[in-house]
Amino acid sequence: MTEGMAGEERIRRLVEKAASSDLGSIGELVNKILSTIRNPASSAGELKELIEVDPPLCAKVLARANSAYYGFKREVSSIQDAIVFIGYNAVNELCLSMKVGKLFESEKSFSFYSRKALWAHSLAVAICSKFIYRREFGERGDNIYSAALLHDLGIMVEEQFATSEFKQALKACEGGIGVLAAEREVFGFGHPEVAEALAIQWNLPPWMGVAMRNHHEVENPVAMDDAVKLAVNTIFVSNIACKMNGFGWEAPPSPTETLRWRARLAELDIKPKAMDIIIEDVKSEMQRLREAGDLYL
Amino acid sequence: MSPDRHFKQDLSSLSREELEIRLRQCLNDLRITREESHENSLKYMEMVGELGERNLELQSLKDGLEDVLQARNAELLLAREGQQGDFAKPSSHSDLKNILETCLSEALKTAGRQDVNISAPCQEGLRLERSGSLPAIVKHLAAGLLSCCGQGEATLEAIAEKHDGELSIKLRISGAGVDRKRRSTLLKSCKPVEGWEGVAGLLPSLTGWSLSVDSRAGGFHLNAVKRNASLN
Repeated sequence: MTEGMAGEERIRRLVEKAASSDLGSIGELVNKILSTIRNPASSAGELKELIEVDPPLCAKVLARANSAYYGFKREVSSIQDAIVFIGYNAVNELCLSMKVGKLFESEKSFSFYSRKALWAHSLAVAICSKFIYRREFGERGDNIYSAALLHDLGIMVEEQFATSEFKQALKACEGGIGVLAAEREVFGFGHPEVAEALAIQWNLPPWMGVAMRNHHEVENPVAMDDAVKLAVNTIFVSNIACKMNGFGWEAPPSPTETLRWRARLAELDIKPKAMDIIIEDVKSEMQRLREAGDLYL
Repeated sequence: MSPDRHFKQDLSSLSREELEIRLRQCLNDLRITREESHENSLKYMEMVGELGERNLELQSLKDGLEDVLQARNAELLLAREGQQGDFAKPSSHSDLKNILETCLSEALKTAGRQDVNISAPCQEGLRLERSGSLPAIVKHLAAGLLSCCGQGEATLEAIAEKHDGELSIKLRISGAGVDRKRRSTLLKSCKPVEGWEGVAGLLPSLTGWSLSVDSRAGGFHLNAVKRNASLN
């Protein structure tokens, strides 16, 4: 068996393990939520039914809808109300965040790694990517939120199902290399490949898998169609911007990464100043969530 | 998302370039938010429609269950009366009017439905002043008939005809033990009721009744026959 094949086999086994854990059950619901987000013909009734069969999720959606974050004077007492008041897309995103956030609920930390920091990073990248789509590209960015939120899920899989090797990789980072390089040294592959395999296992749209795989470095961009390239570049740019601004779980970006980031910003036609403004707003959003007690679920 | 997120900072402290960028971002966001609000309102209307349909389904399920329950109760009542054997004596025939009146009043009281409005006075001075469920009325009439006929053959005949958009329903009651002079023919005028044939589903639940429904031009003919009521 070649090294590459061994790596693929290892990823397959890791993802299989993940499928039979909490991560697998969450994957099912995440997939359903994403289907309603993706399907323009889906109704609010479908979303309501999806949430109502999950009492903890239902309670959390209502608690969030009633939180200071939204600041409604009227009590939001049903999922229907939540859909009306905070909007169909916002409820979808809320459900997705809460379901994914559940994976990060219990803190685990070793070396410089912390689950909560990883969650805050994922959320910040999702918000940032969405802001870029809406404000810079004038597009919705509903799906970009989902892809960005899940972009580092490979880390969770490694941390949960290959803990000792993950710790080894973190230790290797002490020598000054980045997490991805360390993973490749220890595992023979990195978390982006694991995230992509998980996306395939969850039946997520193929472009989401591609975006998750390429959030550190864009491989073969020529082969991507424009929409996929836009998503991949947006997550790439958001990921580094968040790391540069205190929403990283690992070391700040290296000078090479920063150079690549600038190049990608130019490719996306986003002015550095515009990116600064977006990052300021990401900080405000994260602050609001933190103050409302909704950052960590 | 909070609507004031674009204005967290003091605008006067922003440079022209920054203001221009914020304005462009704000306009993009506003356009998308408007589109989303419009779609949300459509989705909400859709949901209201779906919920309305669901309510109708539940209402119809509730009505069906109520009808079945009432039929079962009537069946139990009849069985109990049959065991006691003291209700349907021929001596009560002279009181047919009272019995029917009681039955109808009871039917109206228990049915509590608003979908049948009976407005015309009946023959022999029976006046139906409340709305009620047609199946329940028919069922209770049948129960009353059984009670008063006692022995022999008892027949309940109901004829429905449409006139100028109104459905008139005739119930004719006869039985070997019924005093012919006091045979009661009830004429009811009521608004057309969708699913009136549903009555047919109720009567067979009264043990021993046979039922036929003929569709005739301009109306229905429903014949419910109970032979030799087992009340003795």
